[in-house]
Amino acid sequence: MHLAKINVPLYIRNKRFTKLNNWLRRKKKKNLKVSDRNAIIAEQGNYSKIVEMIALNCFSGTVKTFGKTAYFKAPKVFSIIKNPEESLLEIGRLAAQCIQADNIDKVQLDFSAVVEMDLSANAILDLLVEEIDAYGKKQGKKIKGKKIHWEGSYPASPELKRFIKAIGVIKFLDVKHEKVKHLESKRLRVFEASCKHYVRVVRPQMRNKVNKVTADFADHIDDCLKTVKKKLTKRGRSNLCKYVAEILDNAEQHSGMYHWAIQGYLDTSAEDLICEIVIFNFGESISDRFLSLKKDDYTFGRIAPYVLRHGNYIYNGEMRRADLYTLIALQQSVSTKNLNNASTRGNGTYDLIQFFDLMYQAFTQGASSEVRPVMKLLSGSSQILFDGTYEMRINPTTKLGEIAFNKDNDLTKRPDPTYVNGFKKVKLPGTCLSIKFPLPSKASVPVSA
Amino acid sequence: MSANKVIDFNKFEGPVFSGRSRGEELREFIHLDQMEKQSSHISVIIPEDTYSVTSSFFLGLFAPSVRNAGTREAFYEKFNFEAPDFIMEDFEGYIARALTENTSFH
Repeated sequence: MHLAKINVPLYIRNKRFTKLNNWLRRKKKKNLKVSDRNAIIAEQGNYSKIVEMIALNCFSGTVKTFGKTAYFKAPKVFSIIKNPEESLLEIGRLAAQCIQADNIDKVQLDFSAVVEMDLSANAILDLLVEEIDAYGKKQGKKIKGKKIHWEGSYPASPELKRFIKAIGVIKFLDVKHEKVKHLESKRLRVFEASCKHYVRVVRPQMRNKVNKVTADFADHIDDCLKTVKKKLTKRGRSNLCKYVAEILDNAEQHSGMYHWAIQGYLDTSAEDLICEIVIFNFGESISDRFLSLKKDDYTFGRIAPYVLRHGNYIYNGEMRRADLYTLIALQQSVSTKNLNNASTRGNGTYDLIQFFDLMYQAFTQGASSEVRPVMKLLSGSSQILFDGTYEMRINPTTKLGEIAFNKDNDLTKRPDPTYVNGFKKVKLPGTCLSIKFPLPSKASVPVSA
Repeated sequence: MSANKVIDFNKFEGPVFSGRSRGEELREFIHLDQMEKQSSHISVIIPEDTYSVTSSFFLGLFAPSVRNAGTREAFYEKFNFEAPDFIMEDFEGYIARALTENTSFH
């Protein structure tokens, strides 16, 4: 028989005891969460390391702050491909305001002056905005009612406005009332995936995040091509997957951080069908990794003659060591992780450049657009531009792929400073690969690469 | 040496096989070193719906086997691949890479 029927006082006492225990357990759990969060904030500071990295690398000196409001004004050309230095400077200025001011609670994003914008500048800004907002929410839980308020103004162009709504800050901040309308979204092909410090799957028979994202990205590109009634061939899809997977694997293995993002965007209602891709990761830049090599490291021994050969240019200030290291890293078989002559690492960037060369050939045939495929590699303060002028070629002696960025494709000669150069004032805390290519309008143009 | 062994990629999650570490871990997982010593022929089955096998993954999994074989022909003598044509074309380049020694840049 139930206790409530045989001993009512005992039943009520037991029930009150259980209720009190449950309440104490919930309170203890809540206190633990608060103390963990406070411990994290005490350890990491009020803002994420990402915000600090961007502030320190992209902006030097002190920045004017406006109470608890931070301002971001996008330059007229907000593009990593065309205007990287100014674009990074403005992004760095926003990060610096967040670090310098105490408890930012409002951010204004002004895109009103923008006439040109690319996916890579947008991607880096998105990552920064996401970090600022996440930390605002963490602070908000500690101080009741406090969170970051976001305001902004769109660019005048409807295409750019649509861009910001579909894959820009509106999407990342999840501003529901500003999101792109359903009919408009059907004409957009958007892809976004990122990774932040996940625990790597240790079972090799299972696919990891890079494998999954790569396959999904290939499906996205196929989706983009369907708009012009084309499709990737199996060979084309294989090549695309190879190159994307290699880039993401490189980002994880070499940068020192598991923090990368990949975005893709195509607006089918635009006059020119331009497919954009950006792959970005935080962490050590390419030249940082090479600069940290010891003199007895195998890879240092391989590349030292190359850097020595161009020593005069470095001495005269015509070239920078960091830019040369970034260039040499593109050569087939060069990797900081190679240990001896038999090591087989260093094919990823070779494959990527091959892919771009093939894409350039495929997409410039019959393309009505004046836009040519372009790719920019930006790592740290070094940048390298690929626009079809210089190609990767196999060295007949070594049988390995080389790209020297000069008309003889000779690594012993100076690379073209228009294509291989760097910045003095800003440094990206990571590596960014931006690709833009036009989709052919004619159905007869082959798409396989 | 015992009869043929089979490495069936249908048992591993695809459709993209990438990452040197995944290749190396898989080599350990399937005990390929031991398999090579115990078998005269190893069949490798790669499904038709595979999107891609990257050079890093292939070299992580097979580079020691390629170097043990010494030549492309000896490697194919030992390992019999059943894979789509576009995958096999890629493997030719990877095998060549595994057999090429690095040199200095002058």
